[in-house]
Amino acid sequence: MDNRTSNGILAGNPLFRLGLGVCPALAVTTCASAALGMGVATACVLVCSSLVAFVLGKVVSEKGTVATWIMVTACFATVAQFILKGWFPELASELGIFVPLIAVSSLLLSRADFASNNSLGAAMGDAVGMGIGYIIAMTLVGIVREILGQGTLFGSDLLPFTPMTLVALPAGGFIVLGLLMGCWNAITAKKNGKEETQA
Amino acid sequence: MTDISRILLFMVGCIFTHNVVFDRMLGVHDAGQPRRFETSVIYGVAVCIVMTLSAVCCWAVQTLLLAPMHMEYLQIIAFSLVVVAVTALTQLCVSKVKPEWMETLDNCLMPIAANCAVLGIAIVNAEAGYTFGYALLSGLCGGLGFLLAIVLLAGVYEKLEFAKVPEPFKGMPIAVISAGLIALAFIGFKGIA
Repeated sequence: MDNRTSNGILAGNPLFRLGLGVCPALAVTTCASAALGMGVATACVLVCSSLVAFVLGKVVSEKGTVATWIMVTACFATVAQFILKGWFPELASELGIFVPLIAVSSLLLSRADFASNNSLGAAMGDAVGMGIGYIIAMTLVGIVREILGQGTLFGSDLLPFTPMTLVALPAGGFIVLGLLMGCWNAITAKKNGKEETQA
Repeated sequence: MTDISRILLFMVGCIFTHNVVFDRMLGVHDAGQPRRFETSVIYGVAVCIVMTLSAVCCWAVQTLLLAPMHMEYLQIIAFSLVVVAVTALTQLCVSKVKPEWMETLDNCLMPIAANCAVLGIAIVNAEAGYTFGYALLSGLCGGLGFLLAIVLLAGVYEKLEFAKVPEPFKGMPIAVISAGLIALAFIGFKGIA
């Protein structure tokens, strides 16, 4: 696998290591299927907008970058909203305003900035890696919050009781995300340590 | 209930009960940037101005342009354009009126346009179908709620600098968990409005 792609999934995971795209990761992760849907939608918009940002990067002046990236991502967020409302209306109503808010996701804007300053291969490798990393991270948060907060997994009953109702609340979202970030840091640090000793 | 008490309840609801950061979970990335206390106050005021203006402008675009012409599907693009324009205008005004603020904020207010709380409040207003007055109040109180949130978080960051935190939790993870504890305290406002 391309080095940049694997970096986006593990050591440079956008959600757990870089803290990008936190808002939807807290808001729509009360059940795993919505979290997965949001992750996939964001990843698709990410790849498309990075491609356009790479092309536009040659012509946009430095002062207008943020404005340009927002307009590019707003166009693709509109497309994503059409697709979700047309084919997955239940998911779209569950995600609510967080589909339009893909337009100003910190993840997309920072990656568009990266894409405009790098080669096409690097930009695409980065976008795909970050996209997959974001899907994995979102689903993980969703799974933990759904099991603890509702006692179900992907909508099917798993436990006969709800272990921690707090986890389904906004406050629980912050705490679960923080704990997962810490665990992710510990795991990737251990893995990096092993690689260093092998080398 | 009289009009004044209804308006006051709406304001308390927007600032505390449905706080943009801790309850609606908008603009968490922007609010979570480590800042000094003074910087956070100035940045919060700037966000508050942009949020109020863009709430009003987006309300106008929605009711006068998009709804009569049945072009609600262009909402995201139109609102994003309004937010970017309002931010650029605010940057221009602030740099003329308060140049010392701009120095504290690294001479650039454009990150505010990328703050999803600004666009988020505009979309919430449009979906709730607020009248002009409520849209204005919602923008203003949303901004005040954001100001409150980032000032609280800046205070927490200053304390965390001297805290003994386990190695993997240093930096972002402990900050997110602390934000969660503040959000827990905000649940206490649920009974009010």
